[in-house]
Amino acid sequence: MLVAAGFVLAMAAVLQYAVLAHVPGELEPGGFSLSNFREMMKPLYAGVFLDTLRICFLTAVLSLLAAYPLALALVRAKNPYLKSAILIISVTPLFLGEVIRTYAWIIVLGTRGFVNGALSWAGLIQQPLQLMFTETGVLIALVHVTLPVVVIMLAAAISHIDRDLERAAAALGARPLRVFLTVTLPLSMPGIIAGLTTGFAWTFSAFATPQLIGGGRVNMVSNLVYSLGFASFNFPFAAALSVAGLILTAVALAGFRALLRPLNRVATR
Amino acid sequence: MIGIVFRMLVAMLLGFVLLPVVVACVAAFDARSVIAFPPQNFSWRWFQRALSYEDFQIGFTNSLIVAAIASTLAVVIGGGVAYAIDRYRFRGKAALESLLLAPLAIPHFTIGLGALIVAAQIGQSRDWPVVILTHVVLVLPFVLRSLYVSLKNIDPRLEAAALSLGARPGRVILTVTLPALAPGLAGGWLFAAILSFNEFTASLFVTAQRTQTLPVAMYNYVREYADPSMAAISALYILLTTVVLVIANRFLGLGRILGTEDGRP
Amino acid sequence: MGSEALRLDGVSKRFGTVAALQEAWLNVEDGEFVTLLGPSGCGKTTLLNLIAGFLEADAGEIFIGGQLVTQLPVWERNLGMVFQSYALFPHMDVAKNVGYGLRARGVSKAEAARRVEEALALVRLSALAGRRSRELSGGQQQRVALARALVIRPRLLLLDEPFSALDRNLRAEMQIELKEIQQRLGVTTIFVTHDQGEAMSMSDRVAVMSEGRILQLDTPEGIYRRPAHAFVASFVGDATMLPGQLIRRNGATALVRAAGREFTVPTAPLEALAEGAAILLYLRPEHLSPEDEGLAGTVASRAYLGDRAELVVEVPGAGRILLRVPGVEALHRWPVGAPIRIGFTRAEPVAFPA
Ligand SMILES: Nc1ncnc2c1ncn2[C@@H]1O[C@H](COP(=O)(O)OP(=O)(O)OP(=O)(O)O)[C@@H](O)[C@H]1O
Ligand SMILES: [Mg+2]
Repeated sequence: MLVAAGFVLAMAAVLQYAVLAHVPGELEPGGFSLSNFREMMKPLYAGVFLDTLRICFLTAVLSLLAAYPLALALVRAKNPYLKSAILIISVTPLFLGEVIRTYAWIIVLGTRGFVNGALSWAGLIQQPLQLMFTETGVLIALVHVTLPVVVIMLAAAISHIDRDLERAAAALGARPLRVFLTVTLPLSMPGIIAGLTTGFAWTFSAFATPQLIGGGRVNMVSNLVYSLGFASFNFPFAAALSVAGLILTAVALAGFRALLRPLNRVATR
Repeated sequence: MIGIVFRMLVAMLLGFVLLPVVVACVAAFDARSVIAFPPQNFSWRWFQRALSYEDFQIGFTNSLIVAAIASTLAVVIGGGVAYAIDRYRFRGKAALESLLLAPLAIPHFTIGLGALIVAAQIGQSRDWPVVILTHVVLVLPFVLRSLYVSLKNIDPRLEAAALSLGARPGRVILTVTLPALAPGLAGGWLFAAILSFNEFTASLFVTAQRTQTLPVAMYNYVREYADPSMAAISALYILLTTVVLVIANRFLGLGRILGTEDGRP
Repeated sequence: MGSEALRLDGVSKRFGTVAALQEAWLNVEDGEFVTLLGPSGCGKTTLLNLIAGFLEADAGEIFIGGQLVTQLPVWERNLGMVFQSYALFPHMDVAKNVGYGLRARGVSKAEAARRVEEALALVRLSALAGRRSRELSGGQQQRVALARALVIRPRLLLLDEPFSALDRNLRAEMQIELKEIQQRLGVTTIFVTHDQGEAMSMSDRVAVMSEGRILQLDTPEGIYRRPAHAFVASFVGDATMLPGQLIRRNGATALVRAAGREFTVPTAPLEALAEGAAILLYLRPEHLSPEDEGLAGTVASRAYLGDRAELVVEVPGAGRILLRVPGVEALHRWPVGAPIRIGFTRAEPVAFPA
């Protein structure tokens, strides 16, 4: 009960602060005002929202593309050791936490990092590539962060597909690629939808990755909320951004589902 | 043909997943004080430095405390709630359930911000209760889910049998339900503890210098220093996690826990 | 009948330490209906999956229609397969399901539509072409699966316990329907079941399997009346076993003694035995009847089954013998404890090494 109450209080506080005015230099908020939401329409903030949505969408799609082969291999591996290896390698990052994973990507992507070190050692580049503080770098690391969950969701869906359906298709003369496209893929649609939406929501929630790898040049809503709260002590505006973010993700996810529903119906009707 | 292409693709993707993990481990052994590739002279010094760095030590202890208390609370609360939701009908049941599962869908920074504001309002600024309660809210949905599954898998006839043998309901819960639920409770607890130990974003909002957890300490370190101490602690972390996962997989069947296996051949 | 439709030359398959199939030899003629019959785990599905190409043989060769297919992938074998679970594609309607194999073969749309219609008419489901598989009853789903397998004009039709999920009446109906369709089309069929009634009633020949081996391949009558192995004799139909000795062999027949009487049995299963060696005599209950000159015993228990009744008769010095008598007679003449004499004049006994 206390937990539920605490949670409700916290969310109520965010909602309440979202409609209070910020008094510069004061921690205590002022009176009721919708100025926060008006402020948000400014190109600076609207841009962050658009960037966030784009990054979330790209991350979700890229994670899905990368996760599908892994999930398929995981479910279909015949050798139990290979199966365990794929499983452990794919899910270990999930248990490392965002900070360590992000840090590891900094070492990989940095100017003197692994990628640049390897490429210049191989003589492929003269100048180091700029990967840190770019959207590409943030995307790579975010995909790595969301990949394990998407793998798990897809694998759960694929493992529920009756193997006899694929056998039946093969016996009817369908080659493996055709079996995949006409049977396996459509029947894994529930997992695809779950993976996409979860990937999207997780990315939206990510903070350390865009903060450290984006380094201020790639900003997501989470970074804005944090800097407004802790650099400007503008909690009302931070709360308003959070609320807008919640609404936006809800809308985006509903849109996602609506778009994918026809596909899902094909799969499960 | 398609099989070979597929295998190469899978190998490349596994490589992508492993790349940062391996790179961090390698970097941890480089003697130089700024990370650069290719690595040169081998050294253990960053491990010594990481282990003796006070913020990491404090963060580690704090994380252990928070994870232990928060996950225990979550399992106790979650156990009661899951049992009530599974077995009884009451008003507001659906509301309570969706309320407790809601944190799954809400970004951690939002929850952290909310907790911070509430803490400030009730004058509890960033102290232990706030940190722990925030963690309980965050891990509870996961505990609930794993407990639902175990509760659903208990054969209700077992409880009926115990009742028919004359055991009172309280005794049935103690002697039949709880033992049958034990693996689920243990699994839920472990999962909650791992999640709490790793939680970062919300903790960043609600922890202070004194209460900062290990991920927060690591984050601050990354922002301030570039030496491989962080790589060293990452390597330790990776080693520990992998060992735990391999053991969990051997004895508990990770695939079944995560639902990636169907149980059927 | 004529040319060879399927041949297995010493096909073996192991799973780890389990020998799922050991040196299977099999010859099936064009248009034949052959059933693989055996208890659970004897390797029926393994054999079928080897023929279909879902498994690779460890040893031996498989020929379909004279062509060596051991290395040929499933999708090039041109076989019709019907699964126990039906395996209808849940995301396609009936017509799409049936047409799947035609699409995979690149058959033109018009031609495919015509053949799908034809196949659905064959299984009397034309009216349901637009339905989803989930909206069909078990029997209807099974017929769609059959139409889907037949529409590609397969070289072999393979069915793995196709009716085991159906209730008894539907099952009997489907058996008749399948047999009719099979005969009309003349398609060579390999049918898997562990139900001996199903095997006996539908098949041209039955292959009885046990522990990864094909023990006997024969007509249903041959399997029943001339079992070549003790396992076949006891698995197919009911039998009473009496211990005894081999007295002597006379060419094709042999003389054995059991329960104080002498019986003439086929020699074949006793080929390797010395005279005087222990044997087990197998007697079918319906071949025994109460006779005045018979072996004396008392009725130990009685099961009334309507048209007939089964009596267990305790024969001193021989053990318990099962016999079947008309139901009405049993009620009046053979209550439990009644004395009875068992006659062997219609018996077709067989004996196997003990
Ligand atoms: N994929 C497999 N891996 C390991 N062992 C297997 C596998 N498939 C079958 N077996 C084993 O091989 C033996 C034969 O199995 P098979 O499925 O062919 O039996 P079956 O005659 O079809 O039985 P049922 O009537 O139960 O379907 C069994 O002992 C089974 O446990
Ligand atoms: Mg089988």
